[in-house]
Amino acid sequence: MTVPAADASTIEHARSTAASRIVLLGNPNTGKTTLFNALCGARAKTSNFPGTTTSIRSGRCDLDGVRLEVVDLPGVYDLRYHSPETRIARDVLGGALAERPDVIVVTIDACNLTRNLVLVGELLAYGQPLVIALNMVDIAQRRGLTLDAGEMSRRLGAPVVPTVARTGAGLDALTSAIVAAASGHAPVMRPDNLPGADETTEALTAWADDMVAHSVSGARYALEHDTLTERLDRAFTHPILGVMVFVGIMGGLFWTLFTLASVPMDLIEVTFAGLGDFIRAQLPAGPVRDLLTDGIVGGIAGTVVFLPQICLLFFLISLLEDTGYLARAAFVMDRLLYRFGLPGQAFVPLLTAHACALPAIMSTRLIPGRRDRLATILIAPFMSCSARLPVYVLLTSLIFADRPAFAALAFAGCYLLGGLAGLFSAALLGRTVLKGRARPMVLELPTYKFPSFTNAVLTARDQGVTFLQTAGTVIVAICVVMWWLSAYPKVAPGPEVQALRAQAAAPGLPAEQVEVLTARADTLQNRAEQAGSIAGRAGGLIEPFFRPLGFDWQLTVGVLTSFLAREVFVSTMSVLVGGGGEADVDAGVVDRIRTMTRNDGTPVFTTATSASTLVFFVLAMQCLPTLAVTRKETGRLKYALLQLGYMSAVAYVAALIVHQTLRAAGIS
Amino acid sequence: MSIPLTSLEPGEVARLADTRLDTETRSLLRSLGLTDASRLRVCKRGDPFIIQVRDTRIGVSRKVAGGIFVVHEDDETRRA
Repeated sequence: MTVPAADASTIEHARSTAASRIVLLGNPNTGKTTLFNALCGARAKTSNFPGTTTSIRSGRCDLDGVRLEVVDLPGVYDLRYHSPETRIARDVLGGALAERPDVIVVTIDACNLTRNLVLVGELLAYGQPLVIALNMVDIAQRRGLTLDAGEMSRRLGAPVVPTVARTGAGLDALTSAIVAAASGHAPVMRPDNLPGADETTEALTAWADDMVAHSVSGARYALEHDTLTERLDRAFTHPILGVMVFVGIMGGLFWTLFTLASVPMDLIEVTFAGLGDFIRAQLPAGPVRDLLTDGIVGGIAGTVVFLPQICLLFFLISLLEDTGYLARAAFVMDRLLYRFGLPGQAFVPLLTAHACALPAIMSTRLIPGRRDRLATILIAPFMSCSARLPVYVLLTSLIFADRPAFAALAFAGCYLLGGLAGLFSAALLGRTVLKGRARPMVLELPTYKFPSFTNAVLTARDQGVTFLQTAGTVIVAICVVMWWLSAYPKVAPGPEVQALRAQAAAPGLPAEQVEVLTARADTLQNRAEQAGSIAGRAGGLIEPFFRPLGFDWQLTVGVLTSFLAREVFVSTMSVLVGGGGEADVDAGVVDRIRTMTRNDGTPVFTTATSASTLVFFVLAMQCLPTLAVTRKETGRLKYALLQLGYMSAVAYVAALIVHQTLRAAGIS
Repeated sequence: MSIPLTSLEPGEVARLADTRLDTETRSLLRSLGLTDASRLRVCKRGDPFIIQVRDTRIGVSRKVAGGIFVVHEDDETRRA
């Protein structure tokens, strides 16, 4: 191994200058992310590449007192293929990030040298200091390969450092090489026989093959087969067995997700409820207290409560991805999704959308081809996200009051309805707005590996932070606005309320009776305030439009407010029946909402109305943050508007059909 | 004489001769290592069709496999 020694003077030089900019590049599945995590660890942060929605991770690390700024670029096979990732890599190499990087560190897979060296060849043509991390040398040795890193380094004109990023072996030597390269003491040489930048991939491959022939000995290019891998591949992509494995793994994933996430979610709800009570106890009654407790604390709680599911989902997906299974699963799903004009890769975003549409839409960048990406983004919000859960719980228990088995069935039916609506909408889009079929699948099948726990934890953390940055501010703002719209203008207590309160204040009444009278007065006052508020008046105005669906003005208010964020539906309805605005669906809330009456005294939630409301919530696009992310990811406002318009129309028509059919059948 | 990839059996080795694919798909395959005239081995038939090029295993849908044409290794040597 010929790593130029980082002597005292070079370190001194690097120390005297500002932080050196290091860029990490490499093919997918080469352990580049593991290497980045080993260098920067928990100090990394994720941000969008300027002008795009592709996220890149960056971090700082101090090596021997030398400060490095490390940017981890998305994995690319080469710099020629047209994809957002290669464009970013080319831009960064060309100096798009303020200044050109000082050193390029390229991670190459010791077990797949030729293809990895093609990228190295392209990078050498840029003439910038290059350090090569020859990763996974342990696996190569186990396969009987002898790698001469010194010979490779001499031929490439750049330091080649054997590493095992997973265990940290070779990292010291690598950092020394990086520091030496950053100090500018290592000369940049271009190998004489390197094909020019305008040469074909075939010429570069021939050069890479030649490089391998001179620096590697052992069993090469016998195209020897790995029996275990082939057996696993056959099982995982089998038309029947593969589907069974897929259903089993995904079922396990969701079971784990919902079981484990419920603990921190309950904890968050209790904590924020306690915080709200604490503030309520400290401050005098008035608009400031209401804003703080109902608006801001409620808004933050409503955002943070989704964090456990999102982090846990990404943790599990990262583990699965690391094992290599996801690439196989994509092929299993491709057979189904392709019929609906979606690529197999869409299954990861669609899976994610069952927790939240925001990270789902952000993860569509895995999908090559703009048409396919757009189709996936547009239908992702049809999947039943966790914000719909409390609404499903409420409405299914209203419809099937004493039959929990039917309620559970209806609950599962909601998930199915959302999924089917998404698939058929994708097919419809393929025939109309997004003409064409999904790109046929071509995917590298990486070797099966044991997943990295650290990588999964860091991925979960990054995604959680991104979610809070993207959604957090928007959701809190919405909650504050919603609170204002439904609390103002204030309505003076009516004569009935005043009479009740006077009655309660009469001396000599037993305590229980005072309580009953006060509660009735509060309920009446709450209803009057809701009806008189801006949201309530809007509900009254728009009510005729929703009447064919069986909605009265109160339900219309609930549906309207949930267009900004659907999770506020339960708390809005709860406020309307005089509760404290709990977002939690407990028996008390369900019973109170069941007894809600229309202005004419008949119940609001008949079976037909509950069913139509449920269908409406499954299908409607009721999430402002999602619209904001769709606009950002597609780059066009028209796609966000199309999503809103299309999903609302589908939801309205479906709810109308449900309500009218049930009524015609005599169920009301 | 080039033959469709789909006519090969698992374990057979051949050399890429020609593709009838859209440019995007062809260019992605090239990036993955399936360059012109590269050697490949069939790992699995069906959907996905799995081939191995050097040390890369590539899964392609049946449709893509149908657009890949190869020559048998011995044909190649006979001509040379």
